[in-house]
Amino acid sequence: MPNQHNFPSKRSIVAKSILLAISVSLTNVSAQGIDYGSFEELFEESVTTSATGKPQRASETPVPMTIVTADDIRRVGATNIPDAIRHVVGVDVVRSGKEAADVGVRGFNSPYNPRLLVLVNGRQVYSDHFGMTFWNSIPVQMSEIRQIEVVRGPNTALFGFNAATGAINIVTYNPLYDDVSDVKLIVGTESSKEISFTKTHRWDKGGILISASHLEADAFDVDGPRVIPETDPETSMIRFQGEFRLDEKSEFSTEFTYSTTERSGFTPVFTGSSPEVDTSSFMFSYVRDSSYGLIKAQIYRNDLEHDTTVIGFGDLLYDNDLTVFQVEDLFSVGTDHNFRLFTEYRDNNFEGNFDVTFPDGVTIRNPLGDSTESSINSLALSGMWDWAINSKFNLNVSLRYDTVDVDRDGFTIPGSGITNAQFDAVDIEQLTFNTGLIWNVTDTDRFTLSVARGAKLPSLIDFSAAAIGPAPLPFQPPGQAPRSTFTVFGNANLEAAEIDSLNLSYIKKLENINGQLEINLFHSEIDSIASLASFIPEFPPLPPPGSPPPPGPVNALSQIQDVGSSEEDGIEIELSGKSGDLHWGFNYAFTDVDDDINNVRNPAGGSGFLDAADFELGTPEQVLNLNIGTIFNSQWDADVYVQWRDSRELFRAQLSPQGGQFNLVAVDDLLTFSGQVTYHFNNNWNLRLSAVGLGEDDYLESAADEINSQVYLTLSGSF
Amino acid sequence: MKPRIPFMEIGLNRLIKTCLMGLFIAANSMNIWAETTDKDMKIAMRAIKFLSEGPKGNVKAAIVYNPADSASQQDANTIKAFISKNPKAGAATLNPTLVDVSALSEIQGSAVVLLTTNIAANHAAIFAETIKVGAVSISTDKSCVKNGHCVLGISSSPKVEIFVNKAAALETETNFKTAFMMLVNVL
Repeated sequence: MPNQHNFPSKRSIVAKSILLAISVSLTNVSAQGIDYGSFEELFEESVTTSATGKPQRASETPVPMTIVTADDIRRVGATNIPDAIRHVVGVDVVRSGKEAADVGVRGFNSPYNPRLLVLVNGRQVYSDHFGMTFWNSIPVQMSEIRQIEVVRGPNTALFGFNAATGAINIVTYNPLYDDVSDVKLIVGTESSKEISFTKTHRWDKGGILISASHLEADAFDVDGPRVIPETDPETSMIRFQGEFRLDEKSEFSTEFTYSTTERSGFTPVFTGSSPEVDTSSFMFSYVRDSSYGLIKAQIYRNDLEHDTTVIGFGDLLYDNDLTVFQVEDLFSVGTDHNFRLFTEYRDNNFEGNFDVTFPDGVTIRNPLGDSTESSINSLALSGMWDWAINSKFNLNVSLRYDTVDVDRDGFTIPGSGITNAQFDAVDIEQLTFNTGLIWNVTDTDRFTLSVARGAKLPSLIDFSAAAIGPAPLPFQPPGQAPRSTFTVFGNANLEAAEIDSLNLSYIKKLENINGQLEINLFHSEIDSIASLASFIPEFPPLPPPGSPPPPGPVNALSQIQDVGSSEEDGIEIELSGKSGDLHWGFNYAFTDVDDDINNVRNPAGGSGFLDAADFELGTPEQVLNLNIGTIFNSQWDADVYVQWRDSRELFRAQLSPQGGQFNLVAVDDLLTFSGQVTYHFNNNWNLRLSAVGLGEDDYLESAADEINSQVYLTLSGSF
Repeated sequence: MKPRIPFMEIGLNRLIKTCLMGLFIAANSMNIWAETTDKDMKIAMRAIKFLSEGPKGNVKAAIVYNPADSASQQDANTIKAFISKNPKAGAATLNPTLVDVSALSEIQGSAVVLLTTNIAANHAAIFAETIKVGAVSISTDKSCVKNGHCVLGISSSPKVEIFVNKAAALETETNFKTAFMMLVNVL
């Protein structure tokens, strides 16, 4: 029986040739976006769109990336996303609290790391207010993750601003294609208790997924005074996803999420905080396979309420809402050329309200004004061209142009000369690109040379105000009022930071060990590093320590600064193999960082700095990961992961009534063991003992407090 | 700025050079398309799922072979045995039917045509028949796809490779899903 078709059945050879040459996309096809599971089964490897926007096999991407599969997540025994990726080459996980971690890719990591964009199914879960990711607020259960795609190096041309040193896209199972049924009960150290479930339901024309969890735990025990507050973490979240096939060529999907979290952690001013974070989001998208290609239109909105107390500052309440409209078309021309056209409009709004708690315990509303508001609206156009030059060579070029408009309202610092008009005048235009040339030397050997420019946009807070606290004690006039404040203020002169990167990779499939060797050499440069960590009271100056209190209030100012630039060279080597039920892996990363950062030493003496950013000392030079695992029989399987990480030095704030400064804290090299042992009762139920960070007791991973090894017992079942 | 350690730089440079030299010495084996294996068939059956508006229900799958050629006969047996055991391909259930190269009119009524090895001389004639019935033709012989006489080429070793001849697809009115087309080699 002939297939249904869209082309006339009889055409002249000439007409066919012309049609063939100019046809946009081969055919009308079903509206299916990416059926990851079926493609994985077909090609016997993971498939991704996170390299170029075009679906590609993991082994054929023109950018260095690692795909952590659901099986990998299970093997590592992770109960959270940072721990699931901590053994990926080039990934740096710095845990500062029980549920608090910062993640960096290829160096340039820092508290609240703003240079790594994190998304779930293409929706950013990175919060633009600080430029950061609350990893514990990502409303996704481990059991619903199909794969975590870790792009190493800039990919702004695809994902937009802040995919600067890398991007992580978490891909969940799709209820239109996948069946997931999972319930987990987890108990662990620090009296950790978690219950989670994920359930899909499918029918002919669609499917839904519902997932939810609740977690409670104690904060890590700390000997001596704490750097970060003792806040027992608590997390609740729920997610709904619906996928509907409207007809053979169209699909509609929607997602709603909500999460509420509480924990303590480390901030970009190198002090502790105890944020309570509520997030919610919705997303609608429509996909149609037309004769003009695979067209997708999407709208989503993220809402964030971040209520926190930062040590040294007051009670800070940040609100951020982001609305994103996206339209893209993915199509082919002829046999060798694929294109992606994309446009995006982003409406990003921030409001900060600040209460100031004075040393005598009195808390008052910010005396400078009710709030500060800022917005960043941006419009982007981007294009991708993928050219299969011949059977040996492939070229991929992506370009993206962003135009950004900033608007600011609310209080300013009296007498500072800073006005809202200065922020309103900010107009940023940014061109970013990714290019990759692939040379398939043989069927099993491949070189890829990639050159990229990414960009990190100053955050909403960089353009607004980050925090307000009481001015140091000597400058507080006696009595209830007036009271002096200290404000970390935005800077209208900040520019988007550009990250240029060059990468040469070699991949060889090793059939004799059923594995693969991958080597990456890279060089990256980043400019315009903005630092919130600046205690320099530039205007008006605070009186010198020891001087008598001023007669009236001092609204001292510290401004977010562009502190300099940095560059790094590195090599990453990965080797993996499989033999029967035994699988193993090895990876090694060497990173040499060279900063050109103008940290200012405290003129009052001591070893500290008045502002601080240091990637040279803060990046471990060498990291080594090993893993081995096996399936013993139908009932038992086990995996061991070993990580050795070089020593580093990280900043910590030292606050005193007279002011503050930043000191470097030595973080020793770490040898840690993670892994899991699982007993399968039957096909539906299993019991897993897993651990993270064994081998080190009460160890520092960040400049905050010591953390402990974590052990979990997980009962999993499908229903 | 941190002082650079000279020996570290030398070491890194040497490492880089050594790696690059090693990489260029890599073996240069060409892809060899073998006779049809069970793994090839597994891939072929999975690929059928990505036909747009592809076959549904019970459909005839013609296995074209040359009874005078032992390799072709062997291939036909392998293909038929595999389909008999695993008839599901997307929404279709394949009913394998052997078709002699000397009786190509028996392709009529087929939704899928599978070509065995060693019948290159008949590729054009087979393709002419598949055009008539609008069937998708599948082969592990790359030359068939390259010459525009087969729509789909399958190779499963050393890694899965799928080739689609766009002109042949157009002529047989065979449509694949867009994402699939972006993942395969289009000729």
